Amino acid sequence: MRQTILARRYAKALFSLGKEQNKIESYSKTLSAIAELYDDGAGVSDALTNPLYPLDARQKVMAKIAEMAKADTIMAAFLNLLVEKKRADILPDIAQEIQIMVDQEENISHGIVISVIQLDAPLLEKIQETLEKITGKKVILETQVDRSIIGGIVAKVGDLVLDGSIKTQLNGLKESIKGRE
Amino acid sequence: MRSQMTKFILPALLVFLLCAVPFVLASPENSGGVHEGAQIVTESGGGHEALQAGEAAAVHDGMQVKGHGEHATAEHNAHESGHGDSLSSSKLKDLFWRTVNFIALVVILVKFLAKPIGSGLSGRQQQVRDELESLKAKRDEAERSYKEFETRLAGMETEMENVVKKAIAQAENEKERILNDAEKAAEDIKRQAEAAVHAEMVEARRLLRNEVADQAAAMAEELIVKNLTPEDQVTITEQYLDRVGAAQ
Repeated sequence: MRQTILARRYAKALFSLGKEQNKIESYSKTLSAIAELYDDGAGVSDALTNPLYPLDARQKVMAKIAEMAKADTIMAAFLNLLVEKKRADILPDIAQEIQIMVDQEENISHGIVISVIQLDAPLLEKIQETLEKITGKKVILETQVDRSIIGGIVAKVGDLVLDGSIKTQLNGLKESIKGRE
Repeated sequence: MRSQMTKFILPALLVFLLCAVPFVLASPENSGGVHEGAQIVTESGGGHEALQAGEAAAVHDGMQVKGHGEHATAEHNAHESGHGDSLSSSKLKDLFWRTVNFIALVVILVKFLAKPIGSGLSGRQQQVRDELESLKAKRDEAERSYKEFETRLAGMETEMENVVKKAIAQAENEKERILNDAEKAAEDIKRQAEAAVHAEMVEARRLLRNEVADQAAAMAEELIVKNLTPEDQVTITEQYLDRVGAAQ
């Protein structure tokens, strides 16, 4: 929780700067790309956060990463600050928070669609339209295949869940048979 | 305590003194008599061989002297004559003192022992009287009880009949109560059994329904999985989206 609060503060600061510079999306993408490096298991996280390494070495690593990500001066300074303040470990959280802020700013919601088969583009578009109609926001969907739902789809956007799977319908049928006197 | 001791010790001392005084007074007289007797015997004996005073006293005390031969008869005669002379003076004096002693003893005994003995006897009399009265009261009580028991015994038959009637009535009541309780218990047991049967039936029905529902769902799932084509998937999805869109 503390990490999230800290991450939100840093994200808010960067978001303000990005908004001034009109580079919010660029910053968000850069941070997301660097956050993905943390999960690669290549030792980036350790190189940036391990206190056994000297501070200047860690700063050099971060500067190199910023250079490779083609970060501008503000972004590079931000990344350097994270290392200096020993907050490099919360970089993925900052990326997530800034993504949420960007989405809110641009009225975007991220969602996921679970289906038994890979959905084709027209159907996915129709699902997206329906969800946008329901939420009133632009919806960006991810797809996921799960055969356990038997048939139909399950769509989740934020707190909204649309469950049109055959598995759920069968469960409902089963419960209605059991509950009937 | 001290007064009681003096009360008993003083009479005892007096009795002792009274007994001792005449004896002391009588002793010199008595021995003088013997000497006198011995002297008389010697004088009257004449040609007799001299007898010692101790031997004379021994004879006087009744001891038999043997082996004296022919002189024994003469000595005996002299002795008898000596006895006849002493009774008249010293013995009478002794008898007088003894009589005085006895009278004094009687007086003392009467003076000192009459009250205690009298009071003891009167106490004993009172005790006997009390015991007698107590026994009489007990006897009266026993007689009264006896009469009472006789009266009760006479009415016992009626009482027994009443008791039997009461016992029968109580037994009837008890029987009725037990029967009611038993009926009630039987009703309860029956009701409980019915409830248990009903509960079991409900539970069995529920289990059966669950089993049917599970089996039906499993069979339906199997059929759907077996028969559902990708086109059907698309159709189902589109229909669902239509329904959701219509609902909105």
